[in-house]
Amino acid sequence: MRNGIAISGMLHVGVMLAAIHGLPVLMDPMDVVEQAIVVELVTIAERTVLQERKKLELGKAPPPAPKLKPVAASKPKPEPKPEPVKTPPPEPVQPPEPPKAEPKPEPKAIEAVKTVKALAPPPPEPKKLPEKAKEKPKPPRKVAAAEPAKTFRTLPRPRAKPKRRRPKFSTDRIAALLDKDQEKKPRPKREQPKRRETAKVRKSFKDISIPPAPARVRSVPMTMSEIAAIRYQIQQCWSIPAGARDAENLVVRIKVFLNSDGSLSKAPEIVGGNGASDPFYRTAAESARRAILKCSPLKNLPAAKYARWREITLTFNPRDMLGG
Amino acid sequence: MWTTSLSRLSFALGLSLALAVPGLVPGTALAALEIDITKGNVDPLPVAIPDFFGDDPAAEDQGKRMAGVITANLNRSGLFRALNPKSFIQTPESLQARPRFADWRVLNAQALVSGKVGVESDGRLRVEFRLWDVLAGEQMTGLVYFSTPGNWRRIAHVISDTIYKRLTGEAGYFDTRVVYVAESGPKDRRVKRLAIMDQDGDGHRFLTDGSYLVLTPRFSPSRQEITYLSYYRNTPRVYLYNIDTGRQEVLGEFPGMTYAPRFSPDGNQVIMSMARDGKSNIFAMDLRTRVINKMTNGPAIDTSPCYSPDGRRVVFNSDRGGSQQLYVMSAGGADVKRISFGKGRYATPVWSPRGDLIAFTKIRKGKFYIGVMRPDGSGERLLSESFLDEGPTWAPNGRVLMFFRQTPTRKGGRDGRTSLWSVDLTGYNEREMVTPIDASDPAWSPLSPLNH
Repeated sequence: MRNGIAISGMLHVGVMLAAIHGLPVLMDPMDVVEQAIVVELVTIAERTVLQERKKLELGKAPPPAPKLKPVAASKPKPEPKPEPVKTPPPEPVQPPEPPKAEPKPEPKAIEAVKTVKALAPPPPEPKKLPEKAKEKPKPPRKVAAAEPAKTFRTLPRPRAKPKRRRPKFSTDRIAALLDKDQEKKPRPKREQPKRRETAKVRKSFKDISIPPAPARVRSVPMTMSEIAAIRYQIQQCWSIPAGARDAENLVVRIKVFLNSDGSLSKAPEIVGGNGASDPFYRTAAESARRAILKCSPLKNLPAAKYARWREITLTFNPRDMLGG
Repeated sequence: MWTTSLSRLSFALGLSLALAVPGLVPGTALAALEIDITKGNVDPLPVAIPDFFGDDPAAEDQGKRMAGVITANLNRSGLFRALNPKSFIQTPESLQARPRFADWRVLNAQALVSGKVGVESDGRLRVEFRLWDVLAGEQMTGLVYFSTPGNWRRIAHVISDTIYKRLTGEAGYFDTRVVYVAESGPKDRRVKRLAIMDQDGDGHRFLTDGSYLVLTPRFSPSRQEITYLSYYRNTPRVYLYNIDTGRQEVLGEFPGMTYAPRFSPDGNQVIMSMARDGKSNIFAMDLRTRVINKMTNGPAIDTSPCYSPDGRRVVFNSDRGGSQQLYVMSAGGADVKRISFGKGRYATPVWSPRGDLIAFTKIRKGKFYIGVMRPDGSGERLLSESFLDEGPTWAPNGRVLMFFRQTPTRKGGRDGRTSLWSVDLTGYNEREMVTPIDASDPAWSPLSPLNH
């Protein structure tokens, strides 16, 4: 009898110890592995498909189009007087003569071909004609008419939201969203251009002044489809020589300044880079610049968001095109 | 919560601060829109090449021919598209003053070449050319060349190279020549002669007369010298031949050698494969000391060695793994690594002068292919396919390959032609090189050091 109690007691104690030490291990909560879910806030217009302006009908009264300063008309520049090319007088250069060979087979003695010097580019055509050019007596500026009519409208329309979203995370877009409520500086007063000033000839896009941003425009950030439209147009124009190597050297950043109609307001600027020291970079930069010049003016840009796209920084990176 | 005036006050203060903060920030312009452009098109660049201007009819004729050579060169590269001269609006004469860029933009030209040819008082030929960017309206480069009048073709090739380099960033390959073996006669009594021509087919000359067998000419990577195997008087010997000076020299007698040797990039070593006692191994000979090093050892057949452009590695083919495959080792013979693993047999490896690719011949299921792969063996791409394509050789800028192709012989001995073909490393632009008679075993010269 006693033995039984002692054995039973010990077994009970053993079971309790096992329960105390063993079971809590089973009851530990498992570590929850947190997986970060990337959430990108992207603005998608009610319509993601760009439409031609003819098909748009005005369902509601559109917000008043921003008053854009009429651009002073650029008079067509008269034919520049061709200036003679000033080439430096050729220096007498002695090409080294390799010895002529007698034994058969005789090769042609290849004369040395000497490059003397690089020619300076001929002086550029004059930028301005003298003020005495007589202008016809007509109003000094052409009012840029019908600007709102050729733009794409991002109006709320009674349609279902499209489901496509492009997952492209970019902090710039977040910053743009946060900047939604921008108050612009009031525009400087516009001056009455005198008649004499209109006689100044403007040379292509280099001298046309950038129209100042309209005052107090509430700019909605650019939508995916509008950015894709710009990208598509420039991609069509960009020619890359196939098979080039060292693609990492060929990343070029260019700033483009646009007028409200999509044309260039001044020459594109290259940002950073090795400049003229690296011939590969120079070639890549020139091909990017050619692409921009060829594509100008850009089409299908929303005029209401002009403040957003008047200055665009394009990064040309041919990594998708060049393989091993 | 709103009971105490203090809390109300603090709430009002906080609210006003929150509202005032946006007003405190000065109205700045929006950040510039950033767009990535990662794709473009690989259309050839439209270039306008009007005739070079000349003062007198002879110079004008010369200018016309030079423009023709440059046009053919750029068209043949596949990267440019020369516009039809009949569509040009501005004349070469008015082009000398300044191009009217609007005239050229209308034709959708993106680059414009203008030039002038003249003969100096001392009889030298003077060629001046300018390359213009039509869209930006400015000059990209302008150079003057002086030479003897008979050298006008060479000047046209040098100008083509300059244009190529300026517009693509890579060195051109137009001022080069190709040495190959010209074949004629029936297949069992072939007459083989060494021949040389410019890369556009002009200036063709035979270097040997065909009375003895010549095989596998190979160019030095930096000098205008070739080695070739010759069976003059039935003795196989390797000759070293300088194209510019015409000097010939016997490099040595190598009985049992399977192919003509290749030079190392610095020109001091020569690498070859020799068969001895039934084994074929790779040997390197120092040209200065004439000491021969054995680089591979073993019962397998190791042949077709080729140095990398930095001279530190060697690619060769070997069947030590059971089938003919490509291997890379260090220039001393150590670190042998197999790089090709595909089905089929790999032969005649050639390392690109750019160093980024190795070209080879692949044989599989009775078909021959010319392909490229990276030096680590990845990225294998086949560029051409036919009954028999063999013997690739690289252009000096590492972008174009030339090889020879043989068509199958039909009944009665027809067809069976052997000809030279070139293809871009992207696989596009496969073109035939026209030669007077059948041709095989091409070797592409390096660029002449005189101007580059």
